[in-house]
Amino acid sequence: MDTSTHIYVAVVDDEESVCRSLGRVLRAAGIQPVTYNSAEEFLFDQKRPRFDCLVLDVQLNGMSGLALHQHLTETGSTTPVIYNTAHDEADIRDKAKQMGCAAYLLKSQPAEAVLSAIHQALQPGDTNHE
Amino acid sequence: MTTTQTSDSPSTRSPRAAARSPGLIEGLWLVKGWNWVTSLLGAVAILSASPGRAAETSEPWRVVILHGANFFLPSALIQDQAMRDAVTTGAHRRVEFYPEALETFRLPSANYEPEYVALLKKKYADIKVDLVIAVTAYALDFTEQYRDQLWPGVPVVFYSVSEELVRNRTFPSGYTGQSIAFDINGTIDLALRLQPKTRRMVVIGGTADADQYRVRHVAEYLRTLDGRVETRYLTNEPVQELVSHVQALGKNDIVLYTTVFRDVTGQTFVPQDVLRSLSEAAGAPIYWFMHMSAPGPEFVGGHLVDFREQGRRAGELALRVLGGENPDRIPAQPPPPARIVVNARQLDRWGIDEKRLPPNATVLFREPTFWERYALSVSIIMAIIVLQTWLIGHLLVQRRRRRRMESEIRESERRFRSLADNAPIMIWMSGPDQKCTYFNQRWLDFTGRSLAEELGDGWVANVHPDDAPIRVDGYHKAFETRAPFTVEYRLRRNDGDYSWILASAAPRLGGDGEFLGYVGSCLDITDRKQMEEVNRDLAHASRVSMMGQLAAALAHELNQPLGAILRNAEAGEMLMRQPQPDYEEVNAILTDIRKDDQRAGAVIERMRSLLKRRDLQFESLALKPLFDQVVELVRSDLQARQITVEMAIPPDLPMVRGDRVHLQQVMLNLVANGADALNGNPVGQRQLAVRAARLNAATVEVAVHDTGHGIPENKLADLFEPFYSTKSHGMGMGLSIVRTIVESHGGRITAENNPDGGATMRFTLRQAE
Repeated sequence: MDTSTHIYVAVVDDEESVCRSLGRVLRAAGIQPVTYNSAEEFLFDQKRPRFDCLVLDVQLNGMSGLALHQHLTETGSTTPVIYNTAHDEADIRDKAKQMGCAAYLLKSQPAEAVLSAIHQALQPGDTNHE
Repeated sequence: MTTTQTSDSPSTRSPRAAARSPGLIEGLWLVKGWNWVTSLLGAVAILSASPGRAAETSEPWRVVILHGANFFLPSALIQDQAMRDAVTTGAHRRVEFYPEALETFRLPSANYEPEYVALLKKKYADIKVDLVIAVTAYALDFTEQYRDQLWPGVPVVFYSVSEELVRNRTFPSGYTGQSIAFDINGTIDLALRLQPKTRRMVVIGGTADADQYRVRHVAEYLRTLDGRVETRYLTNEPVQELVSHVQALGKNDIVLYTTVFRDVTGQTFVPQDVLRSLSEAAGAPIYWFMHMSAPGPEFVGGHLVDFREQGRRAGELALRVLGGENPDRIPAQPPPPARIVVNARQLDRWGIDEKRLPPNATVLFREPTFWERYALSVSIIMAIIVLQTWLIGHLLVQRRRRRRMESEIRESERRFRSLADNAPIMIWMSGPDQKCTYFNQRWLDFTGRSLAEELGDGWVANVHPDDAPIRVDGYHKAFETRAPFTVEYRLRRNDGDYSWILASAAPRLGGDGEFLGYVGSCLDITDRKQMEEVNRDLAHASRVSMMGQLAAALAHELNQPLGAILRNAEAGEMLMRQPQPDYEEVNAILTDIRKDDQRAGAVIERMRSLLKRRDLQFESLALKPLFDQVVELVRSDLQARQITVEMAIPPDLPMVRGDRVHLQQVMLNLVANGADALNGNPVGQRQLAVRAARLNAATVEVAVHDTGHGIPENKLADLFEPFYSTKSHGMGMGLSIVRTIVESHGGRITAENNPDGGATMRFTLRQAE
């Protein structure tokens, strides 16, 4: 567990309670979470550490999770992205996978799904697109 | 009065028979007067008063009237009449008048005066005289000279004595009287006013004292006018000469006549007679200041003496003195005001503008107009003519009105028929006996029947049997209230089908408000009815789609708190598994869970209040048409998805008790649910069936079958719980609503998997009583 504390994960979700609860789960799993309430907040964070993984909600206030993902990819980022959404909509899932997300998860899925997706994303060479 | 009487008459004498003769004489001479009608009446009054009126016991008042001049002078007669009228009217006892004429002008008294006085003395020796009335200054002088001899102590009332004479005179005891004034100045002013362009004024006078006195007065006044007019005095001419002088004048001259009691030759005249001669010959208008009367001489006018008023006032003075008032206490009375009087004929004769007259002028002898002359006859004739004209006119107007009314009625009837027959609506009329008396062409075309068939109660045959109670009974009931009514019913068309009809009728009232039956119109509202159904369906559809939206919104709203709760719970579990759990953090987690749970509860509460549409409205419903409508609504959607629906509802199925909208909602949800379950099936194996059957005496069961994937066995129990859904889209609300509705109808709903695949939803409903 202690070995995981050097793992930095960003959580971007417009629901404060989601950020907090997911952050707790990650911390309990030895991962260092940094939570943002919007994509913009994430982008303009000057002290932003080098994240090992991003957990994004699809629907956000302002820039959407997909748009943020696209922006990061276009600026050369290779940080794995995991989507964590309340809405299972087929076309959004398809688009997210096209953009090369590490995982597409529903908020109703158990926490182990999120944690295992993060760990899988951190193992280089293994890009399981599910 | 009695006391006065006693003191005035120390010795009472019995009236003698002779005493009555002066009254008779008086009556007779009065009759000779020109104003004989009034006089006669006066005489009659006197005579009739003699025997009966006042008290028999009281003595009459005896009054000697002493005329200074000829008492046949018109002015004298007027005054005398008015004076005596005033005395007799006001007296409470009989009055006897004894007239005496001194004839001073015509018969100078110097030669016979002593004998005359002696005669009078003898004449009145035996009677008690109560009052002497002296007329004119001559008579006044006479009484002053001889009263003590003739009527010692008897009071004297004078009148017709010039104001100047009275004003400067001291009377002996027992005297009072009424002065007179001749407004010569006013008459001159009037003449100049009426003839402002005049240059010359001719003053006519005589040689008697009175004549000369007046001419002097005229001269004095004319002097004050400061030569405004040239004045010529004709005072020393024989009357014949005067006439010729006046004849020679022009119409712009003015003749001011004074009096000619005597001319230069010594001949005496009645001044009015002289005036008449002058007037007939005159070449110029004549003005005078004395008296104007109908048969009198004509002259333009003047400020005239009111002789009648003079006489009346004298009479009142006499009455006061007779009544016992002390004459010394009664000052001589001022003259009555002059009256401005003009002769209309003279104004015409001389072309004098009537507009120049002062406003208070009295115009006499205006030529009577035709109207004035024949007023009565003309009035009667006019009245008859007017009456006749009115009668004829009235009859004509009535006849015309009747004709017009008749033609209007015919025209209105014709217009109504033509209008009604061409109207795009059906029109009918009925009499007060409820029998129909008229149907327009449109109606007959519509029903395809003849007028004869429809009249009376014939039309009832075409009313739909189901609607006949409403239509026919309503019609008969309307006749009781006689109020306008509207009713919808089905009427058979000429092709045998029924159309929905909207019938509106208004009572027909006659001119007197009596009820004549109804007139009504009928509209074919079949299209409208259909539209209404379509609209109902549309409203229904929108309601249903709203339900779906609400469900989706609900799912979205709930996913967030549910997701957070899940994560928090998991984080809590993970923390608790650590050797030294951070209890503070666990506590915070629990707080967050509670808050999210409360949030979810609030969302549900909000949704429920949104979904709570209205109260249930239970009625007896036939399920087949009810569910047919639902299937119709989604038919196109099902067709697009290549799903077939079998409707198996027997026609003899009992009616159920339920809320139309809610039950349709149930069916819609179940059909949509079944259709969704068929999504994975290959084309040709996508079938839905709606079946209904009577379960027992009180219950009907409805089943919706699908040939879809069926329901996982472990989920069957939870299927109708809220938010349960086997589908990925959050439509889980549907079946829980369905169960709520079914249970609120007193039914139950179950789900089962079919042995041959797919699932069946069954629910029960209560039969209608």
